[in-house]
Order: sequence, then structure tokens, then C-alpha cells
Amino acid sequence: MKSSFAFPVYDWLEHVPVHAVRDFNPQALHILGCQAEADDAKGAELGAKQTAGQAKKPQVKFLATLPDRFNHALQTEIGACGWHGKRDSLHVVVEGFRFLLVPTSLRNTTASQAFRQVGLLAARRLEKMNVANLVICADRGIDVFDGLVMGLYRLKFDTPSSFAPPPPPPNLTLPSDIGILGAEDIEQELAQRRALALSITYARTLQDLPPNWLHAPRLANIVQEMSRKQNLNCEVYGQAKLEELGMGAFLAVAQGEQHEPRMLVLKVQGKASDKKIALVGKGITFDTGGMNLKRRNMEEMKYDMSGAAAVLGAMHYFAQVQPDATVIGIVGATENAISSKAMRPSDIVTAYNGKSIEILDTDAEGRLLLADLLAYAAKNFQPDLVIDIATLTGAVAYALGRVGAGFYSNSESAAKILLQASVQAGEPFCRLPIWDEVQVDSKHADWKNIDETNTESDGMFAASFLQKFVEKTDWLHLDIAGTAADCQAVGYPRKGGCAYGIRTFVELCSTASF
Amino acid sequence: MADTISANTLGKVLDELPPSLRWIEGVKINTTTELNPDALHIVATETSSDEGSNTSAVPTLLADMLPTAVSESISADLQACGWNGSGSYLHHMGKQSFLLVAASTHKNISDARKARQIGIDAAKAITKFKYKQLVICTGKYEALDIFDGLVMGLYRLKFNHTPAHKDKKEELPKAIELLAKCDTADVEKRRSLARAVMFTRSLQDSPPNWMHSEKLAEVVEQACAGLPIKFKSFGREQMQEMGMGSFLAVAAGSSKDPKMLVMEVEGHDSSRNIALVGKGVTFDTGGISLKPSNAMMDMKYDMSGAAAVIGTMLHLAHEKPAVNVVGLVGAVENMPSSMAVRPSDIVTAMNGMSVEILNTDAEGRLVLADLLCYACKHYDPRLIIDIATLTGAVLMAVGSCGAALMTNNQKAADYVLNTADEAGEPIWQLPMWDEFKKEVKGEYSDLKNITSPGVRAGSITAACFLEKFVGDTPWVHLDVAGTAYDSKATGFPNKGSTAFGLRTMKTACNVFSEDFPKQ
Repeated sequence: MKSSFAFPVYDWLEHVPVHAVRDFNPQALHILGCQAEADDAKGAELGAKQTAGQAKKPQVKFLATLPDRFNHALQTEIGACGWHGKRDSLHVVVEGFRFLLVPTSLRNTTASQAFRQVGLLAARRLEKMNVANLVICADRGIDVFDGLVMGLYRLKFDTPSSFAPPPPPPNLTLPSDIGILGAEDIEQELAQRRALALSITYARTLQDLPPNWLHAPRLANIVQEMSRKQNLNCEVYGQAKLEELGMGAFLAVAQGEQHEPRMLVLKVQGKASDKKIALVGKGITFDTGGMNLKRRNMEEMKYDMSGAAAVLGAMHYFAQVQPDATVIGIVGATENAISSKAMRPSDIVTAYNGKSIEILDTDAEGRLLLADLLAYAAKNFQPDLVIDIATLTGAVAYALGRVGAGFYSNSESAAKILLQASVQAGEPFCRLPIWDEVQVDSKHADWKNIDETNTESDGMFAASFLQKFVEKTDWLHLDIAGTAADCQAVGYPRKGGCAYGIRTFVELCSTASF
Repeated sequence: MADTISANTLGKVLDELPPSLRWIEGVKINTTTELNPDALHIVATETSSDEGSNTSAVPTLLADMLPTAVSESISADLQACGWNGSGSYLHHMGKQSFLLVAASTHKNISDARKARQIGIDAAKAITKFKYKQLVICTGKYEALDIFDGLVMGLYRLKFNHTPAHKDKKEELPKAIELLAKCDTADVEKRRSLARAVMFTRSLQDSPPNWMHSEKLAEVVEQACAGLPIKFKSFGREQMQEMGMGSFLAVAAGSSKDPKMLVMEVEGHDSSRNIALVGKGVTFDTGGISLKPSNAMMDMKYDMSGAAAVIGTMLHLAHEKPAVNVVGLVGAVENMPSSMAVRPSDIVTAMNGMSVEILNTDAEGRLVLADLLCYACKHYDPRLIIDIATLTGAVLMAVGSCGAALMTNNQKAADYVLNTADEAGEPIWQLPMWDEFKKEVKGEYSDLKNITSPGVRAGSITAACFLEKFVGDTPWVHLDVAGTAYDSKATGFPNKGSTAFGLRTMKTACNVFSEDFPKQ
């Protein structure tokens, strides 16, 4: 089986020089963050009709400290062409220096998202330009760099049979030198951010790979190879071992597929605290729904392993930047396929913790897999906090749309920590309730995997189901079904995987102080 | 201010509404200090669950004023018969009867809600018996809260407006005694609240062929007569004059006259206003964007927001609010017909904004839009709470055990969330993320009433639409599509109407003090 796989943008990112610069460079393109001032003030809507006649002079503010001569010259150019500082970026040459003015908005979003957005938009423009040297001019230059890398990421595949590493697209030249203006003492921060960008690229690539190529055994091989390179402790469990462990719920999902399932357990020792955090990811490499075959949106289902990708990406990061707390990453990988061997609705299986589960819907498979992984994490590692992440339910995707993920918790303090980390990371999360009234009891088994009488609030039901398997452990359940791919939040690429969740994990585990 | 409760506060309306409403007007409610040999005593119980121990624990009676000898003897009997402490249990001892009702064991539910659930469960149990008198014992759970639930549980909806039901007798208790120390004033406040809840519920449960917009206006006018409520009603022509094009678009297909009802109650501080705004779509077929049949069955409940506002106003007439309160209700039927509004029609709302109607089944926001404009223009409110069965998506976010809240002002939201907690109504806030705000901008008009399908987050984008009509007024939007009827929440009837939101709005108006800084 051919598993060695070169991640295209990854290799560039590993080696491209990124450094602080003090001066403007006549050879480089300067990316300058801009914001339209009085960015449609709230409440103006009511009076909108009255003022509509008078054209307002556009005001653009630069999100960087520039010398007066540039400031003045740029404002003159902006005034001359009437650029309003919204939507499209503007290419301006003043005094022989090239500037790409990129709009963003700091209103009602975190600063890191807003500055990542500058990078993302700049990358979109760079597609059409041939630029070797870049200089980032913005207050939070490192965030712009972060966004830029996300925007430059491309993944085109060769024919599915060979999957040779694809050559860079001919019309895209990746920059060979990136400077960040005015920043000082940023080596350490930059190194960390490069590690994060690499981890995100790694996770996004896993997300975007086609499901005929990236099945569970191959995913395991790719991760093992990465672990060897990164000196990361990685154990792989196959079918036989999972049977021995008694993971009946996980195996029920796997029984319909042509390949074998895999459970991966990765571990990074913490440097500052003896706390343990377990990250658990759902890795359904493709979800047909099984016997309860999906009627729509099946083409997005290669992204049903995005939770696993986020966990693997986070572990990739922690291998390079040691976290405060010990972090254990657990991933269950399999395909939810339809076949004569597949599970049926109404099958009853026994989970790792000995509880029986009635499978009333084979398309509610993520929670089956997570149930075993969560019970395994709780029993074998006694973590202080367990976080699972999964593209779990359409309900959450429909409730919150594509601009933020939902999360559930059994602990007020854990929920607070997650929200703080999410704001720091610039990754929107909204807590959703698990009301006490929600019941997961089955008539024929201990529990059932869906509430057949009320499928609308399935997100909450799923959370309530998973809660049974962590028992008393502090637990967070992140449902990223809406944001894992084609995320519409500010500071995220609009198309394809975006490794949603990694940023929050990195923030949370690096500064975990329970 | 009517401080005393007359037996016929609801006047003529009573003849047409369910008999339980007449009952709550007239039933005797007293406090007592002694057991009553002719009555059934309702006693809450709880069973401590020591996980691991297999010896079955004996349920504890939660009744402070029960004589020790009596409670000991009941406990001994319970131990002997081995009641496991779940559900309810009728126990006779000598000449006295006790109905033991297990309190909910859920951890995160307030005592008030648990007490209401005890009342609801007790009501369910006593329908099988013919007790004319009830005694409610206070203890860990307040007798008045149990009473609150009991009334909800006893409420039955059989309509009087068909001759067959005219003389049908409901077997409801003649007197309720509270084995508790309560003020008479508090008791009467609770009776008023119970009446308001029951009135709201009967509006909700009324069949839509009878309770259409014109009838609703008539019933509410009658209900307000004789109370310190200033009532006004506006029809199609007046709304046309005011430029309520958005509201009228929904009414276009209806053969009935749409009504905007305005109810004003004066508060202790009469210089400031709170506005309560309710969606009153008496039946929602979806219009030309017709709903599939299974989604249409419950659509008489699409006026639940309006019903809650009306009930709140009736209660506030008896318990003077902190500031002036105006209740605004938009009553209309959303029907398909040759006159009905079409998907892609463009109309102009009262504030001059044009709205493209891309889905005629997103009609609630069109009604609310004009009402919100009206509230802002005429009352300059310090707080607006709107309440509506607005979106199905809310079920996906928070299910049917709680409602969703969205806001343009976090301080106002915190205030309403706190009052909801106090009032025993579960409400959860959803974020109005900025990325959604552009999604309601129209291609051919200022706004459009639904977003493109890929955006999803229907509850949040609906709130983003409404936000355009309140300016910077502190505004809280309650989406009760999951809780207004058939709610699974503890402390609410789980079949039919719930009057959800009434308790929160009533409390919010009663304890309002500081204005919220505009954001």
C-alpha cells in the first residue's frame, strides 16, 4: 500500500524564510491591512433612507503604523480612485513601493480573525500575481501570516490510482521570502505560529484527501510516518485488538466496510503540569449513512473525519511545541459503508463500558464510535478533562450555520475554559444546552443512539448520549458539523477543510490552568 | 387599579372560553393550618438516591406543617407497602387522604419548576377521583408554586361555543386550601397569574376556524373591559395609512381583517415604557410557499407569542408593573389565495425599508417588523421583548425543553435571562454572529425575508432580520417555536399549550428598574 504522501504547501511552509523586517522594500509587495471607518454604524439603518442622497466620502484607516509620507500618498491614491475599503483589495504603487491594500473589519469579531482575514484576502489576490517577496504591514503581522498560509494552501490531486505528490499549480508561485514589518522579538512566537500553520496544513490535507484513497489503514500509516518524523508516541490498534478490547459500538460501524478500522492513540508529555487532557476525534473517512442511506449532501461526507484531523493536527503541533499539560490524542478511523455485512437499524451492540446500545439509525454512527473512545479514554487515562470533536449532527450545522461551532459540556468550569480558549484562538464556539429532561433510555437495551420521536434536537440528544460514556469526568463535546469544511466565519478559508478546532485545542492545552 | 378580584373579570368572554376559566375565577383559595378530613392532601416527596446501596430508601415527605405524628405514621405505612417513591401514590389513613407526589430528581431545574411539575402530576392523578376539596402542603416546595402547576394540570380544553358543550360540567375541585403561611395578596396575585396563564392557553388551543384575527380582537377587547388596560385595535385600512406594508403582505391572502392590538398598562413609574410584541398568526398555512401537511397540523399555535403577550397584559392589570407596559399583537392568518403575497414580491415596511419576500412561510418576521417599528416610533421603549413561534430551526439548537433568546444588547439579555430563571422558564441565548448580518440584505431590495439556503442558522438569521427594525433600542427576541406547545420542559404541561414566556415577561415588567445603556 502506497502511503507516503508529500503534503504540498507543507514542504514550502517548512522552509520559506519568515522574519521581522525594519524597512520597506522596493522589490517586495507590501500587504497592508485596512479598515473602512464608521463601518456602517449600528442603528444607522433606521435613518438610512434620509441620508441616502448625500454621498459620504469614504474613509479608510490603516491597521499599521506607516511613515507620514506613505500615509499621505496612499490616502491621496485612495481618495483619487474612491476606494471604500471594503470587499476587494486595491493594488497601489507609491514612490516606487508596491502596496496591496486589503480590507477587513474589526467590528464584532476577534482581532486574530480580522487580521487572518487580511492574509486570506491577500492570498486570493496573489493567485493572479507573481510575487517572490512579501512584506506584511499590519499590527498583528503574525496573524496576517497565519491567514496568508491558509489562503495559499492548494490541493489538487493527481489521478486517484497513483496519488503522486502533485506539482504546484503552474499559475501559482509561492512567495520565497516573507517579512513582517516593525515586529521585534518575534522569533519564538513566529516559530510557534509556523508550527501551527504546518499542523493546520497537515490537518486540512487529511480532510481534503478523497475517501477512495484515504481509508482507515492508510490514514493510520500516514500518521505513523508523521509520528516517527516528529518523535511522537503513537500506538495503532486494528480489528483484532478492538475486538479484544470489546469495542462493540465502534466495530458495529466498521463492519460494513471493505477495509479494517483503526484506533490511534498518540501521547505528548506535558512540561509544566501533571494534568492530563484527552482529545478524542471522530474519523469516519466516508459516511454513506449505512442502511439509513443519506439522501442528500453525501458529497461532503469525506469531511466526516474532520474531528480526527483536528486531533491529529493538534498532536502534530504539540510534538513541536510542548504543551503545559499532558495531551493524549485518540482517533477512531473507519468508513460507514453500506454492504451486506453492515449494521441494521435495531441491531443491539455492547459498548466498551459494557452497556448495550440499540442502533435505531445507522447514520448516527459517529456517537457509536465516540462512545467507545470516550469510555476507553476515561478508563485507561483518567484524564482531568476529555474533549471530543466531531462532525456529529446536522442539527447543529443547521442551528448555527457555518460561522461557528456548537459545544456541550457537563462542567461549568470546563465550558468557561473552552470559551476563553476559543476567543483567544479566534475560533467561534457557542455553548448549547443539554436539558435534564433529555432521555437516552431504550426499550430494548440500556441506551439508544437516536430519539426516534424527536429527531430535530439530535445535536442535544447526541451530546446527552455521549455524556453517559464519560460518567463523571469533566467533558466537552465539540460539534463541528457546520464549520469543518466551507466555513464562513471571518478568518477562515471559504472552501474545503479548515482544521476547525485545532486553534482552540492549542490555546487550551498550552495554557490549561484548571 | 382593580385591587379586588371580581368574580367576573373576564366578563362575556367566559361564555365562549373553556369552563376551567370560570372555575379559576370562582374557586375558593384559603390558607389553613389544619388538616381537612374531607379533602385530599397533596404532599411532595423525595427519595434520596444513594448510588450503590441496594436498600430501598423510604421517600421523605416535604410538608412543614404536617403534624409529626401524621407524617411518621404515613412514613411507617410507606415503608410497609414499599412504594419506591416514583410517580404519585394515593394513601388513605383513617379518614384522611394523602396524595404523595414524587418531586423531579433532575439536578439543574429550579425548585419553582419542580413544584409546578408536582402540581401538574397531582392534577393528572386526581382526575381519577372525585375530591371536592384539595389541600396543598408547603415544604421544600412552595404551596403557591404547586398550586400554579395544579391549575395548569387541571385546565381542560372543551369549548363552550358549540351548543353540545354548553352545559357540560367539569369536575373540578370547589375549594383549594394551602397548608402554608401565605399573604392573601400573594394568593390573589397567584390566582391572577393562573387566570392569565389559563386565558393564554385557551387562546392558543382554540381552533383556528373560530379564533381568527377578528375574533381574537373581539375576545381581547372583552377581556380588557373593566380592567385598567387601554385597548386599541387597528384594521387593514388604518395599517395601510400607517404604511405597514410588511404586515399587510402577510394579511393579503386572508379573508379576515388583520388586527393590530395595542394594550397599555400604566406602571408605578409612568415616564418610561417597556414594549412586549407578540406574533399572532392565528393559522399558518405557509401561504403560497405552502407547508407540507405534517408540518401544518400544529399551526394554530403560531399565535402563541401573541397569546403570551395578551396574558401578560391581563396579569399586569392586577399587579401593577414597575414602568408602563405596552403590549402589541399582530393578529393575522397566513393563507394562500389569488390575493396572497407571492415569493419574490417586494413590499415596504413602516420604516421605509423595502423587503423582498422570498418565502411566504417566513411570515412571522414580516408581522413583527412593522410592530417593532410601531413600538419604537410611538413608545420609545427602554426595552422591547418580542416573542414568537418564529423558526423550526430553534428546535435543532435548543430542542423543546427551553426557548432561545437573541439580542442586540447583552445587558438587556442578561436581565431577561435572570428574570426567566426567577420565573422558572428555561431560556438559552444564541449568538447573533456578525457574519450572518449581511445575509438578510436583499439583491433587489433593502432586505430579504430568508437567506440563501446554504447559510442555515434559521433562528439567528431571523433575528438578524428583526434587528433591522429596532434601531439601537435594547431588544430581546424570544423564539418559542419549540416550547409554546407540546414542550418537554419540567414544570410545563407537555401536551398542547404552555403559555411559555408569560412568566418571564411578567417578571421582567414587575422588577424593571434601570435602563440599559444603548449598544
